[in-house]
Amino acid sequence: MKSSILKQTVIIFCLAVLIDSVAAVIFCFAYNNRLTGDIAGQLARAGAASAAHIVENTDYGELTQSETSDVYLNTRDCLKEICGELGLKYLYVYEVSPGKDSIRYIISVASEEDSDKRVAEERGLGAVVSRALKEQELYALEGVEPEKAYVEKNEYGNVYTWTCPVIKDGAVIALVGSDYSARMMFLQEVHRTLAVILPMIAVLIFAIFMALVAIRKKILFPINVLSQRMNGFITDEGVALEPLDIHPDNEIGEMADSFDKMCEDIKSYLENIENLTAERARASAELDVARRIQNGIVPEKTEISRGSYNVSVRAKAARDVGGDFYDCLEFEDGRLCVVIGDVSGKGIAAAMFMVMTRTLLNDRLRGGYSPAAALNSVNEVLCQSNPEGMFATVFAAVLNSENGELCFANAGHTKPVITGGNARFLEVDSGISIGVFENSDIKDECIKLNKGESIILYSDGVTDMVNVDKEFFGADRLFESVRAADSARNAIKSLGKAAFEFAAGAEQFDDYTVLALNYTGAETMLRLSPTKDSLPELRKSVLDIAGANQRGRKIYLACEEVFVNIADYSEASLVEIEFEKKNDTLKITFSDNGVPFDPVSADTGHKRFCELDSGGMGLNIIKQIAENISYRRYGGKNILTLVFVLGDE
Amino acid sequence: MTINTNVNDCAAVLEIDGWLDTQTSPELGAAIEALDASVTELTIDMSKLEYISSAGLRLIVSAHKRMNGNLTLKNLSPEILDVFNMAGFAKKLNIV
Repeated sequence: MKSSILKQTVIIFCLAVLIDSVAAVIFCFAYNNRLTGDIAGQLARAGAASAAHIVENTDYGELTQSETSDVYLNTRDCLKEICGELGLKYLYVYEVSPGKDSIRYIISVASEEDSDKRVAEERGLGAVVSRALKEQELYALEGVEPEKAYVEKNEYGNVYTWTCPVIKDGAVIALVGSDYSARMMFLQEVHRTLAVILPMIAVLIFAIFMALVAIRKKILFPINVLSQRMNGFITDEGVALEPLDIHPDNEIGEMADSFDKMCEDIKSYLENIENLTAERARASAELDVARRIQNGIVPEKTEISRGSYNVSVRAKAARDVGGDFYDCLEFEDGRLCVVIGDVSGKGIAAAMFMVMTRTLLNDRLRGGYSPAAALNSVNEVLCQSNPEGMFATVFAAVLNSENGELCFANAGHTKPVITGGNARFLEVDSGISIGVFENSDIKDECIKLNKGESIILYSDGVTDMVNVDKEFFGADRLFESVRAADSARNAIKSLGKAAFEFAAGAEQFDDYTVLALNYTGAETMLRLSPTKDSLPELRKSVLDIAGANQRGRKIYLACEEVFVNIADYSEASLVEIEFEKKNDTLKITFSDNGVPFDPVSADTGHKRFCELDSGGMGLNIIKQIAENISYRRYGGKNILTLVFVLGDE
Repeated sequence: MTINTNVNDCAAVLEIDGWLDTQTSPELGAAIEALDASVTELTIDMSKLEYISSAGLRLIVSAHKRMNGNLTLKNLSPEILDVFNMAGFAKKLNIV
């Protein structure tokens, strides 16, 4: 707890009064001392002079004759009266011996009764005291009155002594001494001093008290109120923000006004912050939903693996929602369509335009449009409803998974990379971004992908990645990182490693989207004539794919039974066999153009043992080896699909 | 596929080595056909048989008929035995 101002002020004031008082006492006492000394001297002198005058006018002879004479007693009474009137302690008349070495008392009186009796006895008429004469006595003997009182210390206490000569007929016949008590003098000094100091102190204390009252009312009270307000500013919110009811017309008043203004400012500031926070929370929640929607439309990761191709995609928006997009469409007839695009700008606006573009493109491509036709058609729609003048660069391609033919069209997008032995940037017309000009006139182009080659599609966010030295990652580094990749997944991995290592530590500003399509080719597509001579070729393929082990032999057993059935009974001229390896399953599809036959629903039931030499075991064996068998008749073909589980048995 | 035929009076032993499938099964059929009529007991040693398909199985069934049941299969690997089981007639045959 801090000491209060009031307490501190009281202490300071008390110290001031104390010092003041001490100083006043010292000065006052010093002054009074002088004054009292003068007065005492004057009184002593008056006493001595009066006494001398009385003795001079007395019959001196008679006076010195006897202590009991009337003259003596009268004179003594007179002297005693003077002594009492003037407040002297002693008054005495004495003669000095001719040798000046002793004195002989004539009359001694004291103002106090006890002392008077004592001096009457001890220093009465004729009492002799041997002592050396003092300076003033020597002066007095010469008839000269001394100029000041002398302080003496003897058995009767500290006194101021005045010595006066008694002169008769021009000769000094005796001396008169008058003593003024030093103690009395001191008491008087004290009395006078106190008379001045005490009222002064009283006035001072009163003044201080008034000052303290004023300080308390005008300063301490408002400060306390302010302090409480500040203390409870948050906890007693409602109270603290009310204006203060303190308005002294001084600096404290100004402070209170400033405080009121500060409260007002803070109040409106708080309201602003509350509004802003609520606004931000709402925006954040909406953005969160938008991000989830975008993630649903453009997943961060896509992996597709089929018999003759595999696709791998990575997408990473620089901000919550981005303008990059991609699409992978697999068609029933084995075609694969891939699209990558980049919408101008970023954020919500780009995301909205992106969704529109992607949805329209998806619709056209599903409808069987070629890439160029789809892009041209979407461009027309976008141009009709694009008030913000946004645009998108898109590259779309369709792969014929049977022969590796890749037909594509470019709408202003970055040039893809073809990997493999003849790694290169794809030679493609740069086209024109869609959404800007109504007659885009984008054209289809086709190449043939060789087995093992991949096409790498990427947004400019990849090549525009920067490192800490503000260098771009660039198309060349991208090319080098993917040129030797042997699968879509490896291409993505290798590029990701190169790009993110390059850009480590630098903030990225653009979306990162890469799509790799690896064409593994139709090595897993067999076209066989349905004769038993084709069996070795079938056997080699199956064992190559499924493994030359017990499991592979069992899968081949099923395939042989299927193939032999086709060869023996279908009258087909061609059998196509497609292999699709996916994780730990192998899908083998037999297509033949023979007479319709559905082995799945055919009765393979209970033939007797002795009839088995005529056949009928094959289907039974197939059904036991395959995990799943399905049959459909499509396009004039029997299509039998077997699914096997790979791995150790 | 190679087939070793070993005839001892009325008992014959065929040793099959390799793959017995649709393409090779006629060879086994010919080998059984070539056996003398006096042979009434046939043993097929399958210790070196790597593969058998239904074409092979059919020949086993017809051999079983021809020998009037006096057919013995021996030294079947688990893999081959599994195929007999799948075909559903392992129990009908004399497998040792």
